[in-house]
Amino acid sequence: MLGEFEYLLLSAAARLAEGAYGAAIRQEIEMTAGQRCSLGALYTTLDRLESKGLVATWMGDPTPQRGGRPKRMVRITEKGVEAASEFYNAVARVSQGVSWEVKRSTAS
Amino acid sequence: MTRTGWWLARTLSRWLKPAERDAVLGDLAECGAGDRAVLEIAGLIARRTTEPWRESRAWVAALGVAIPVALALSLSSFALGGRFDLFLWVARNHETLDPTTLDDIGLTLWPGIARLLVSSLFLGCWAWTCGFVLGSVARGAAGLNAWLACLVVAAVALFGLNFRGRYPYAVDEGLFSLAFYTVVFPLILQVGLVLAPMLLGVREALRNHSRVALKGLVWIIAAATILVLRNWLYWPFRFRSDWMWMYLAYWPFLFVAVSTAPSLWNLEERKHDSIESN
Repeated sequence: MLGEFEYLLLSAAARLAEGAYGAAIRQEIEMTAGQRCSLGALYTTLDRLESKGLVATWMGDPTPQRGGRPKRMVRITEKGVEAASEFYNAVARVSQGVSWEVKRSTAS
Repeated sequence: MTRTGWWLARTLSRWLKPAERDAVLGDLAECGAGDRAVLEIAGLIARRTTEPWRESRAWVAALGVAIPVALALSLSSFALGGRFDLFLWVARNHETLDPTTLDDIGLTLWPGIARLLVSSLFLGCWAWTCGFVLGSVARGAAGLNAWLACLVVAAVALFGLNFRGRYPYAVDEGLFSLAFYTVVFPLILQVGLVLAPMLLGVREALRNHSRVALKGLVWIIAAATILVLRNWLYWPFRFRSDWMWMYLAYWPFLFVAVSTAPSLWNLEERKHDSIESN
């Protein structure tokens, strides 16, 4: 079963598709999840996902706005899609019939 | 980012693998991380360093191999030094030495030298094997574990310079109070027979990308511990009649266990991760 941050990373990479690489994934996570994503968390999680065979990474072409440095491109593997889907379904199942509406006390 | 901040970030990033370094510095440049870049890289390095220690094998390597074996190797090399120096003294003074002196102190020169050389070879091989196991068990933690083993060896050298076995010969021990015999020579043996072979073993394991499964490691440690405990008080301080058996038992056993019998000991080949190969 995936961890929460692993799922966030896979979702961001899936949304970015061909344009998925370190900085873009980080920005996507920060924008959509509204939480800060450190470079350390991003790269160590990427390594873990890669060692599990859930993503594949390779070095892309260097670009001028990066000071001529290459990007670490990311692609989700079939196994990664299955794992993310399994996580999503599990969360959906476990959330059925559960309301997270915050009940405020009316008593003064 | 200020020039100093950028310089710091680049200096810190040298701890990362070359391919990853470029990707990380590129990401930081692209998102204009500013002076926070230094903290980001430091955080990544900290995570990289601590990540392997989440696995139990890193702790098994540290507590089961690095500390106890480095300690045993180090003490053994000191004990061996306490035998070698007598022969060095004989070699240095052979011209003026009364031939009956050797008989008087009970020293048999050539068999003694042969045993010392075999023991030295044994110690070196054991140190190499220890390094090889250290590098094979937990590759990610191999660097820190190697440092830990070096630290143990250095601690023994610092605090154990006075550690000397009792001479099995009737010789005036005051002869060997010279700094060369008490400090320099033991340190040469520590470096030559323990540190150098051990680090070469680690390097070889990392180069081969081999990895011992936890089950195999537990067997290796258990067998080696039993063998060591059985003759702890004797090997290599005194040469018992079964020293050859000891020689045959330890080093080939460990070496064969970790390198040439993968199916028996669950040895796994670890593939390069893609960032490494890039």
